[in-house]
Amino acid sequence: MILSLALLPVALLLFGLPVFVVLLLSSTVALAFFMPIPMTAVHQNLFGSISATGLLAVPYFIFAGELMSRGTVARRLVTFVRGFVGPLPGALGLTTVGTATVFGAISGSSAAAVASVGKVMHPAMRQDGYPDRFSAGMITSVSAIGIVIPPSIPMIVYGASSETSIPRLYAAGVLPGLLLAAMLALYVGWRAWRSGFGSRTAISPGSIAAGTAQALPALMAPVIILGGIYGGVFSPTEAASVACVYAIVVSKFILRELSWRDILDCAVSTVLFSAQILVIVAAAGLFSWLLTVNQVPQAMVAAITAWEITPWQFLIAINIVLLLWGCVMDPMSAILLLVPVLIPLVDALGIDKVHFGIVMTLNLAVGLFTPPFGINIFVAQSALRMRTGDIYRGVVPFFAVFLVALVAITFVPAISLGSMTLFMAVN
Amino acid sequence: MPPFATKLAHGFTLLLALVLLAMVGLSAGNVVARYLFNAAILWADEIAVFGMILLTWLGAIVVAWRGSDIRMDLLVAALPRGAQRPVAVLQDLVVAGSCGWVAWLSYGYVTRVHRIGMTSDSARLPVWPVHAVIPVALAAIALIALVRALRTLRRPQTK
Amino acid sequence: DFVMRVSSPAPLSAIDPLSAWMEAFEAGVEAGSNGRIDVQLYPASQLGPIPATVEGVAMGTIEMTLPIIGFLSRLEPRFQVLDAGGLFDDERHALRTLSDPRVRAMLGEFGADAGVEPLVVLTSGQSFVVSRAPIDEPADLNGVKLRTGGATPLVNDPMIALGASPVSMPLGEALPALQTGTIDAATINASVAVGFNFADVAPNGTFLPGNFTVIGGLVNRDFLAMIGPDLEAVVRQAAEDAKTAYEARLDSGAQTLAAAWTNAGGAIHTFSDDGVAAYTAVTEPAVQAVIGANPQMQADYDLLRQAATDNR
Ligand code: NA
Ligand code: NA
Repeated sequence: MILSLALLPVALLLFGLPVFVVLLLSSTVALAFFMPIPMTAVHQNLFGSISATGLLAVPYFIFAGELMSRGTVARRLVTFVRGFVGPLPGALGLTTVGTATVFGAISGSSAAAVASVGKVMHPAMRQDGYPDRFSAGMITSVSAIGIVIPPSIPMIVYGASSETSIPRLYAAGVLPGLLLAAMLALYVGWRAWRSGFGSRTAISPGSIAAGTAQALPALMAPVIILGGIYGGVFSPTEAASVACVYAIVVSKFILRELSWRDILDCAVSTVLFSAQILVIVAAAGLFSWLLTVNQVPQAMVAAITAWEITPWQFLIAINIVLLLWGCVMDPMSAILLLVPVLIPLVDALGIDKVHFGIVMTLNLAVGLFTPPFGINIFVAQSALRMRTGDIYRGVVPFFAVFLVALVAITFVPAISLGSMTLFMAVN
Repeated sequence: MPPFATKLAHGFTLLLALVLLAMVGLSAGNVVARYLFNAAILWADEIAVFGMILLTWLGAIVVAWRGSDIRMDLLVAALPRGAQRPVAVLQDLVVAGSCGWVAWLSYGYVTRVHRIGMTSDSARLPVWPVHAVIPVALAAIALIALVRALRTLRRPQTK
Repeated sequence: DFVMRVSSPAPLSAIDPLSAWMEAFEAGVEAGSNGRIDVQLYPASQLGPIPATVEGVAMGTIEMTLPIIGFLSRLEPRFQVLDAGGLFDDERHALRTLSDPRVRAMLGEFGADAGVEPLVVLTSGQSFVVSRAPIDEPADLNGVKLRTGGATPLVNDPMIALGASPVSMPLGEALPALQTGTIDAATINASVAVGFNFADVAPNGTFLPGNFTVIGGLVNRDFLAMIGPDLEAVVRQAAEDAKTAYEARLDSGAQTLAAAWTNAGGAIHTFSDDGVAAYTAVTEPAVQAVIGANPQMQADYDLLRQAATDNR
């Protein structure tokens, strides 16, 4: 069983099989030869794991991103942000970090951010002289901020399985998310300054005003989406469908730059792209279900508790486990599997559950882009048309930045708890 | 691939694109119905999710057809030229075998769902047709991989 | 020799009667079978979302699941009748009625075509509506966007009759939707409302008169056949005996939850006697209209109602 759930997937992955086949075959072999569970589990989980309303945000946000990057909407947005950061080194890189952060406040799904931010920013950065690997690594990793900044699907799942208030978790995620964005922006600016790539542009009140005017339809998108979510018009999942409708209205009727044919083309790319991602989600759901029924997470936690450790040792151990976990599994399954077994320990050690939730979310955000399995990597591979190897190498320096932020947020609980106090009070 | 098959794949994808547009319309329509008219469409999410399942699995057939599945190509790309061909054939055969196997398992499941007469929770529609897209897609993917393996084998060694 | 995987959407807790049932059932089966059946509890939807576990039981992937009754009607439409409001006065009355031999014989037929049966049917608290604005009387439900516990007419038509506008929404989205005002109120199990700190965003809680969350413990008939008649008897007996542990926590469970809700900053609102009468006057015809449209449901309902009267 260890063979088919641990070694087989790695071997099949290295052999270059499609990722969903890797997970499908390993799970089916494990079920057929090593487990007393009916084979009906295969289909049931393939169907059940993508039969979820929350996942609708994935194709919808991808579609909205396609529509915006096909016309000039996204380019207008880039010009606008550049108007402010233009004179700084790495202006386009900073724009990417900024756009991914804003996108994070709109969406609870990181994959959609990679797709939509990537499709706009990657060609722009390439044209501006950024090395391909660097910009691919940036897009793949910075989009992970999206699950730390509310709304966040993983936080909803954590809150539900640990009985922690979701609004508190949301409030506690704001400062850590912004800290992460600031650190990434510093790193990107420093790299661009040191290596001298990327152009700088002067700013003037006139160019800012012109940029703002021509970006107005694009700027209205986050306003409408955030306004709609926080103003109680629609839920975060529904927001994604509203974003699609808005993008169609703007590009078809206001800017008049897309024909119905173009819109249909965007829908075609969206279908193919969503299919690539969602079959992996389906097969990963089967794989993690098998880990659960074999009580693998419980065994991992039992191993940790056997050492009788202090809270900070526990947090280090959990960070290591979660970072390793993030290499092979998706955040959602990790939360579903690990939280119920970890929470009694967290309580016993006197660690705040909100703080722990943020630490856990941040760890899993890292897992979204760490090799070999990382949904953001797969999305980037498809959206940016790049080799996995190049993306793997591109994310390394960004991994280091995330790690520094992770250490700070883990051992300075004041960052997340302060954020909670601050933003709960604002509410 | 023969031109008629390419046309067929294209038409099929257009159909799925229309399904996506319908899903967007339904979800956004539900917002309007609830916010403006205080009358939510209770089955909207359920049907949209069915649409997503359709897109996922039927879209996966087209993805397999185009050979654009997500995979880790790091190691295989580093192999010498002569080794690429047998590896490609072996990959296709493993894909055909595993998808064919799961398609068979899945077929058994769908017949049982059909026999029980399972319905959806909100719209109360029979759910077996939605379940059936999984074995259909996996069988088609297996077939595509098998054909691809045979074609690679028949192709002359030098290109 | 055998593994019995039991899934539940609710987390295990030390106050909730249903948790007491699950733990007592586990202990009872394992002791009664001398360890031949290993019962594994998977609370908090660890084995997947509710619909998937219901399907899993029907397909024999897992052995038991304990969802709210609405999710069982995908396998057997007759389960819907248990959603009819106004049958039970309180949870003890519900327990007596649902344990009545006539009712148990009827429930035993449910799901036969799908190869499943409810090993146990229990209530899990009175229906609890959390809302942003207080709901002190039935008229306060007028115009309220309400997340209901299902999409069936028996759940929604009475609410529509009261002027509310039902919304279907996954549990995970209900809390953010209440916070932003996408919905005004949500019907939610009281233990869930306390556990997820719903009081942070919707501090008003109202118990709906005569409405209870009904839970069905669905098992696969093939599994019961496979373990053989002796062990099947052990499982059935353990399910029955575990009701003692469940009943022992009925009062304390409800009180602890109400206290926890208030401690978390929530308020509890109760309808006055006039309010209850007005509520029943509006919802009862809506319930009867749905039931009257289906002869099978009418027959099942009549039997339940008779048993409820006799056990009062
Ligand atoms: Na977010
Ligand atoms: Na990863």
